[in-house]
Amino acid sequence: MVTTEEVDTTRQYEIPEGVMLEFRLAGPLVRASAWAIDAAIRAVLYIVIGLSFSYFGGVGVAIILIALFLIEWFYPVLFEVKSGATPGKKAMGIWVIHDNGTPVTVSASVIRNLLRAVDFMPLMYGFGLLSMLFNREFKRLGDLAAGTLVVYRDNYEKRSELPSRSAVRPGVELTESEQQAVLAFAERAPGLSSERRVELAEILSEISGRKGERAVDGIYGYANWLMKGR
Amino acid sequence: MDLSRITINLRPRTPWEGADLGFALARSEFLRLWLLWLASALPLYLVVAMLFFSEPMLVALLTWWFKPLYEPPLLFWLSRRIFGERLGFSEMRQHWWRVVRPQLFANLTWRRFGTARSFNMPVALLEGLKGSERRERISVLGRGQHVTGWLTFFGINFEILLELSFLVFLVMLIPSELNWLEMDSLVTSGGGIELWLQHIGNLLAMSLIAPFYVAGGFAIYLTRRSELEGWDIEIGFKRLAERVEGKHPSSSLVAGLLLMTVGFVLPGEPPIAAGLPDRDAVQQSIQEVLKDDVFGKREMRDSWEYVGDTDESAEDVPWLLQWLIDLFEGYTRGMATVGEFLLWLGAGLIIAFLLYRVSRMRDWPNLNKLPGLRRRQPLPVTLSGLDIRAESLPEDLVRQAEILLLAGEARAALSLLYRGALSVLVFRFRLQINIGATEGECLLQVESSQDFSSAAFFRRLTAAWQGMAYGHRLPSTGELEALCQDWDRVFGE
Repeated sequence: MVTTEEVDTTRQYEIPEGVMLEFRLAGPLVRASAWAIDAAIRAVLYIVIGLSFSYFGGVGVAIILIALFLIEWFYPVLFEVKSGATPGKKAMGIWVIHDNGTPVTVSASVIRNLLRAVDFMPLMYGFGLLSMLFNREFKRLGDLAAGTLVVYRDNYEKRSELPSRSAVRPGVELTESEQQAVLAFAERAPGLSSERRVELAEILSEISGRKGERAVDGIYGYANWLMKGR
Repeated sequence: MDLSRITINLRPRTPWEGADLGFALARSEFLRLWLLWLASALPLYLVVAMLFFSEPMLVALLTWWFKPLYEPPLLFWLSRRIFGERLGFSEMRQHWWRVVRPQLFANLTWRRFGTARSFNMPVALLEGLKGSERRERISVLGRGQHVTGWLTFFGINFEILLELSFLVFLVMLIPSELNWLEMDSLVTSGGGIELWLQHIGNLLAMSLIAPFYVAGGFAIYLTRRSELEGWDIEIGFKRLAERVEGKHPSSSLVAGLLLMTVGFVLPGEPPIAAGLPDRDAVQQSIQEVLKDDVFGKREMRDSWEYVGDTDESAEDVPWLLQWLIDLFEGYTRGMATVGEFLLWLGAGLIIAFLLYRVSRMRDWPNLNKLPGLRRRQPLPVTLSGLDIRAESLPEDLVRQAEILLLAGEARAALSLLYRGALSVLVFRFRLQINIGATEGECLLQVESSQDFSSAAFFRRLTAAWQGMAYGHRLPSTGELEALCQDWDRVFGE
């Protein structure tokens, strides 16, 4: 039996201008890690507040309770509205956005965080976990209600230097994905074993007309042409 | 291994994203994986449960320990699945022992404590490596793959959380009055139904997480190998080569379909050389796109609008009726004219009446001169308990006072002088003094008045009066005589 469905964890959204945006959805594992970090931060906060105000008698208890309430409900809202991610999420490289890719607003953030109470039921995010596991976009119930996504933040790392060769124009026109494959090869080939490098390069022998290490050099040339040749 | 047939998107990923890919894979095939896991695990669970029925925790621990028995079939099935092949149950039964047996003893003993089980399993099972080879391979592959440990850590937590959620959820749903379930007995494993529920919770939680755990580890493994060996590059290059060599997607249907999802380019059809599409077809598709509500839509709405007078009656109305209409129209018009006239007349009369009233207003000429007119108040009749009406005073006030003074009635004389002074101030000088004003307020009013110049005398008089009335201090006779003479000078006519 042959299946044709390609599995991936991205979600695409076409903006009115016709540009296709692609979001890399964050799954239960990374979100649980982010939550654990946030929970640890909150726990430290509670301990500090609890210890420092416990000497003030009745007023101190009132302040502790109010602080507890505010932190428990609005800690995520504050950070999500400010920068899209709580410290835990920031540490895991994920953040919250709307379904259409825009930054999360106060109302959406408040909704998704108030509904934590539902996700938390019956115990320690039981419903939230089930919802995340079985939703196509890893959404918990709060995300469903607020129309938000938790996605990986694009980190624009410095691209590694290409092996410098004289630029060679490929014999055929390359589509965008093919250009990306050539560039990916040039960037990652130095880290591959030489046999594997040659094996990959020789797939394109028909185009480059070369074999062995010379084929590898040929593709480096293409990559240099793509990057700066034009 | 033919990578062109792979059905997962092998883009470069972080290990965390790799785990997500596994979760997505497990979700899309959840039912099959779940049943496959149960097929191995359920018999063992039942056997163990029969031995230790009253110890659900022990049963759970034992079943949990034997996980390496039920996980390899899932991995094996998934390894075929990613190349587009879904093995049937009977095939899996044939392969079962061959899949589970390798290194089973190690898996169930010392390796059971490892946290990277899901990640190491493919090395042993799919690459068939043993001993030092396996160790070396894992040390190379597993570099920087700490996510596998977190997968195990959170996997355990998810299982515990789901089992407890299941039990708490049941307790929440059943009204407490029924006393069917109690939280305490669920935890401490009391009677019959609680035991059953704990067993069911165990199985549900473990079976639910298992597919995600196995697939997650497998996907991290795939991501790592793809990164190390450039699988994504290989796929990209093979597609490029196929396109250039003009090969049609005879090698596999999957590759072609994959290309369609990635680039909308069929192999063997260079995108640049592709002919222009048919103009009519393009127009048609444009129209179809424009039909979408996003680009505006057409809708019908009814509303009333004034279109001006249309005199339709003139033509087809009989003359008699027309005459009647005109007559009636003339009649109503006449009535209206009369009404209008009456209205204007009424308005004129009202205005005339008002003008008359204004002209008859008292003090008309002094309107602007008098201070405090805007809050016109009735003139006071008594001030500080003294009657100040002109009628109550004698004609020749000073003379009367002197007579009283001679008669030894100094008190009455001073009183007469003071009353007289107030009366003159109020009625002759029109000084605005409030009803109920005290002597001091009267004095203030007099001193602030511009019309009355001899405030100094009034102050002297007031002081004498206050001293006598409230302090019982009679001024000397000479002083009283002086007051009488000055009164005549200031207030006399």
